[in-house]
Amino acid sequence: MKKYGIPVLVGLVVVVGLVVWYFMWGAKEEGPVTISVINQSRWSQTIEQAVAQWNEEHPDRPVVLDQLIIGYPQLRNKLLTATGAERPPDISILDSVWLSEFAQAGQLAALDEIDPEWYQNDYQEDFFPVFQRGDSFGGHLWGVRTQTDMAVLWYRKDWLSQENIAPPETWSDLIRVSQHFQKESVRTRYGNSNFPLALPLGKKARETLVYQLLPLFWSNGGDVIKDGELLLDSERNVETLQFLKDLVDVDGVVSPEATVFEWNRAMKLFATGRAVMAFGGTYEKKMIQEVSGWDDQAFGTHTGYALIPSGTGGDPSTTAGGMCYVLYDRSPHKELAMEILKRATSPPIMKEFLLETYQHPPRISIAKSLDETDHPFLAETAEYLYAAKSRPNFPAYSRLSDALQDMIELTVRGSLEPSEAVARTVEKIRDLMGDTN
Amino acid sequence: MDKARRSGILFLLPAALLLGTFAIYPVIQALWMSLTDAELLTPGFNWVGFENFKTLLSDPDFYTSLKATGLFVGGSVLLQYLMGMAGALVLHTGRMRSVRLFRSVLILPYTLSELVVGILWLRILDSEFGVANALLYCAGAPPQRWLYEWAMPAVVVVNMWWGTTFSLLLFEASLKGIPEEWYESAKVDGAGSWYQFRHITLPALKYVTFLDLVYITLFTINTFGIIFVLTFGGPGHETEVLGLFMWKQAFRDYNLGYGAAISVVLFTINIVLTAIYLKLFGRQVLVEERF
Repeated sequence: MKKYGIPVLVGLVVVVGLVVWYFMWGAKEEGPVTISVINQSRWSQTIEQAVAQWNEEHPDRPVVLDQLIIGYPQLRNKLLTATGAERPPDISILDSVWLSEFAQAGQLAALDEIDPEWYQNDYQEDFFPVFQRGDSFGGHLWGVRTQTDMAVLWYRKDWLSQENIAPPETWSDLIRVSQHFQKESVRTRYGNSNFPLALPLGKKARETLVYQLLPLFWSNGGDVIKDGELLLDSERNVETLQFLKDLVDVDGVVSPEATVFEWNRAMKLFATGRAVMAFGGTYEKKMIQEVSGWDDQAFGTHTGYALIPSGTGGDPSTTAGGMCYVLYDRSPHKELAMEILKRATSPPIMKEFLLETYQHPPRISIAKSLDETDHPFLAETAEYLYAAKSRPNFPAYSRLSDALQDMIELTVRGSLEPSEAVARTVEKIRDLMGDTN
Repeated sequence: MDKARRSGILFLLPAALLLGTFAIYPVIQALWMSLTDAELLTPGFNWVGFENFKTLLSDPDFYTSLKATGLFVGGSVLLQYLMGMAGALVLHTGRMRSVRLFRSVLILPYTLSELVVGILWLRILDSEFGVANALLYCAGAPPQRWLYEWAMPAVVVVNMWWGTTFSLLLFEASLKGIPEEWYESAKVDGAGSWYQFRHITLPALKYVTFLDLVYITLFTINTFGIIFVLTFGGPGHETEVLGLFMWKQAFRDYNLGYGAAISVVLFTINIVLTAIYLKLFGRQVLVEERF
């Protein structure tokens, strides 16, 4: 028996190998196509619905969904690892600010090239212009926005109303309202802290800092990069930095601790009544309600929202953020993946998802269809999208963002004068532009 | 080669393979990567020689980070050693009631992950809603902006709180191994508590002290999770230790080559510090009989 041991073992290995090969590769040609997706849990239902819809419409070409669900903090690293190992999924969710980086690295497929008809008849017709500009790079569209959110100024509507004060629209309004709520008699009435305005001013808030403060630069007639041109080196931007520094040092309406605020710190101060006004994002509505315990009706009574107030050189403004669905260039099923993506971002599936997660629509048709009685916050703020801009679609965006975060924090902390901070950041961005060209 | 030698090599092989795969290979790869311009998102790389190291040495952020690392590691190691030793002595002398309970409570922080510790202390040190300021308020003292004005001391204390258990357990276990007769003889000769501590306890703990210092130094120098959560290196770059500086370069800015160069510098610092400890304690600390 002993002498047959090795041949039997080898035979077994061969048989098992053949069976595994058959099930993994041999039968592949005949079976359904598997579409791999990396997604976040909130978004997963849209892809599931899209695949179900496709399978119902095409029983002869069924699709099997292989969806990996991960959280936002791991998303970027997972996608970087997958693309670095040359094994990207067919579809993934991607933060809109990463689009140009992935596109520049040749990882993404141009959606307008895969389906020009959809691009012309659906995308260009129905998506807000801000996304058509923001999600395109090098003349092509690389991602479809699934939802959007905007930077806003939250304010205590009930308190301002009791004090007969109009919501701030300009920087001087912002200071005037803040100083009113610094008065001892007023503070005693409402229990707010001595720093009525809360906003992040340091790198600890990371991307939130850029997301919430870029509108201040825009609303003063400044900008960072537009159509590939570096515009940071301007008097308007120096003024904006000076304004931020003065909020802490001269006007004293913002705590110096704002340079170490986490991304959601301003929202927490606002929701607990310590701050009267706070810079934030529309995505914070639910968080404010959770912290404060306000239901929808109480939220409407206590909370007001406005575009980020303007300086002397511009109009109130906001940033439009959000996540995109993208296709990967290495995908062997690009056309099929595109069909799934189109369905996942189609008006019926998108609207259901948006109402369930209470986020803003990137499609004009959905924005127009929102009922003001049922969804007053979404319906009212959807109008802001016409005043919204996207953050620069720049291939080295994370480094650009880091340079801007440094510029703001170093100025507010007094390490650099506003003009020095701008000059230093301009140099950094020039280097980055050189690197990415 | 005789049979015994062959068996010895065979027994060592699995450990050598594991060590080679998980310890030596990453070091070699980091060294290799530090000589390239590899980026996380872009496939391929170019050889750049020592360019990354040159850039690093001319980067002012590197020196700020080096200083922050020195303060963080120096403060943490000193406090962890002193607190660990003090705690072990208190537990060992047994003068305290409920030693078991005290020991269990002291072990608790060590069972928590770095990030959990960070989040926990983020709440404690919160200037508006934190327990630390609530206690100050009760004591009639003004509230502090812990993570703004006291950022470095705060992260050092939190790290000490987390890591002291290791030193404490190490010292307590070793104290049990010191023969009681040594102390009795010393008492007969009229030696006081301080004399006994200095001339019996400390020398007997020399080997463990060496291990403790090497371990906590290397561990602290390579860790940044607590800082990541509490301050993210701020305010400014005040608490941006080398580990966090490396992470930012490699994984936020995609500069794998530059990040690898920082990791090589970090590795070199580890080696140098271990050599310094060996020099201070004498090489025989590794081979001599402990008691």
